[in-house]
Amino acid sequence: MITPHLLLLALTSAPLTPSPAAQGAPLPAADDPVPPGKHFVFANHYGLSFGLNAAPSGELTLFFGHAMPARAHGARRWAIGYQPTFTVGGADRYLAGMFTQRHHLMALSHGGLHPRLHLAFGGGLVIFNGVDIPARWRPSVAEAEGQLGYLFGRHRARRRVVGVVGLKLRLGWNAASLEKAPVPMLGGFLGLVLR
Amino acid sequence: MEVLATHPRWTRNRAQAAAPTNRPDMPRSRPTPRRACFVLSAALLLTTGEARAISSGCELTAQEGANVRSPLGLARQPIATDAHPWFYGRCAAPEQPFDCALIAEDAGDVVPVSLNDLAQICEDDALRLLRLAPARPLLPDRFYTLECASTPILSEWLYFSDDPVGVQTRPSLAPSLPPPPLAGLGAILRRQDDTGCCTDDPLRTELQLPLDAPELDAFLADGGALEVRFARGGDPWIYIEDFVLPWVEGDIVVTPVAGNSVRGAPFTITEGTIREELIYIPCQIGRGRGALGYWLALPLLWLLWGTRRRRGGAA
Repeated sequence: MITPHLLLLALTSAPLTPSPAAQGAPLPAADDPVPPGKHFVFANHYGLSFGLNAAPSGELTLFFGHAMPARAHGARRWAIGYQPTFTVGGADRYLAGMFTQRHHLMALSHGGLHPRLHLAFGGGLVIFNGVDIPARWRPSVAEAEGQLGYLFGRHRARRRVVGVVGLKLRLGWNAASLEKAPVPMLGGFLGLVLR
Repeated sequence: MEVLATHPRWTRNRAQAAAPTNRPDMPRSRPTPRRACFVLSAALLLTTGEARAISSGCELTAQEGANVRSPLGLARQPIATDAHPWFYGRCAAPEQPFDCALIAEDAGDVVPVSLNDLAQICEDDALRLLRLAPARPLLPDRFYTLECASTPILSEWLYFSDDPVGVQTRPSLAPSLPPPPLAGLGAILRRQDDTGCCTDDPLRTELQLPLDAPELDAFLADGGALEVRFARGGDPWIYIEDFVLPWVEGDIVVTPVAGNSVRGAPFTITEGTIREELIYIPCQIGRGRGALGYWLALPLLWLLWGTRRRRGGAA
């Protein structure tokens, strides 16, 4: 028996249709876990970097950034921020570079045409802390850094926090030692990004 | 919401509108970072195999260390009977006379020695290159020890060495080889670690001898040496084999000095011909060939592992 309640339900329910994404249309903004406006962005990587030395360096990288507002739904998002990196090892070649601090201004990006592509680039200063205790601070290297990563995570479509794995490439000029050419450094990293 | 999403302002182009998304029911995105990682790793693996040692590592750059190469020691090869052995020392007690002799106890031979330019040496207490001048030629195939009744000279190596200080003469009576004419010498400024193990200088000077110079090789093997003076002045440095010289700017004047102190014609390496290494590469990189390449193999393993796992999941 068709009751008025069932009739009302049948009239107000939408018919079964393919999803907008399957039709080629972009997803509604509500599906994007990243807020469209300005917000805090954070990243934490752990990695190994390799320079012109047999001994690599272990790294701890943080990123404290500020997201730019979305220009359009589905467009690539950018965040500008400060990235400190703490390095232990031989990748910086010099003995005083066994312990270093890196202070970079970075632009971090994700989303858009390739949603799983993590990009970051920027530059800054490297301070050699040496092996002495107490450490002496020696600003030594001016360098540029680029990161190419892959966002992963089972719940990445719903959550702001995703995993990231990737490579980083640095070009650093050791001005304190009067070097005449920039030196590359290649590294891999694994960590988290709060988008 | 549907209207907003398809509005031209919100979709920059058709490609973006049809782009894959993070939705589980959508096709997977193309693994662009994975491909880039693979290409970069493979390229670096190929190039790092060509790495060669550029620096010989940390070596002595102070003149105090020069005595380890002095003829005054058991480790040195035998010298000619007319040789004037050299060493580094400083005039610490100018009021004392120099009263020394080379003594071969088994032959009962005592040869008084003097010190070249003693008055000039004792003008200050700086470390200088000193040459002993025996009063007459030594006997062949003997070991002479240096013994002093009094001396103004202080040389750390002479006083703190565990080995007896002396020289071994060659079996033959052949005199020291005369200094050859120098040609084809060059210099390069090598990089070094300026923050720890060696000195505060980022550069050191390395003389480059001509590769095919048998006359010069024989001269150096005979006990001859190359004295190096820098345009900035200062005392000469002695060059034997690959001894490290300090970082200098300006011309470098090299003079061959025979074992018996006979000096040859100087050769000037002009400043414009002195090359300089652009960057510092630590000594470790040349010890294990391709060591860096092995590290770079890790991303490749990750790629291989990830690809297999994905294929296995798809199957």
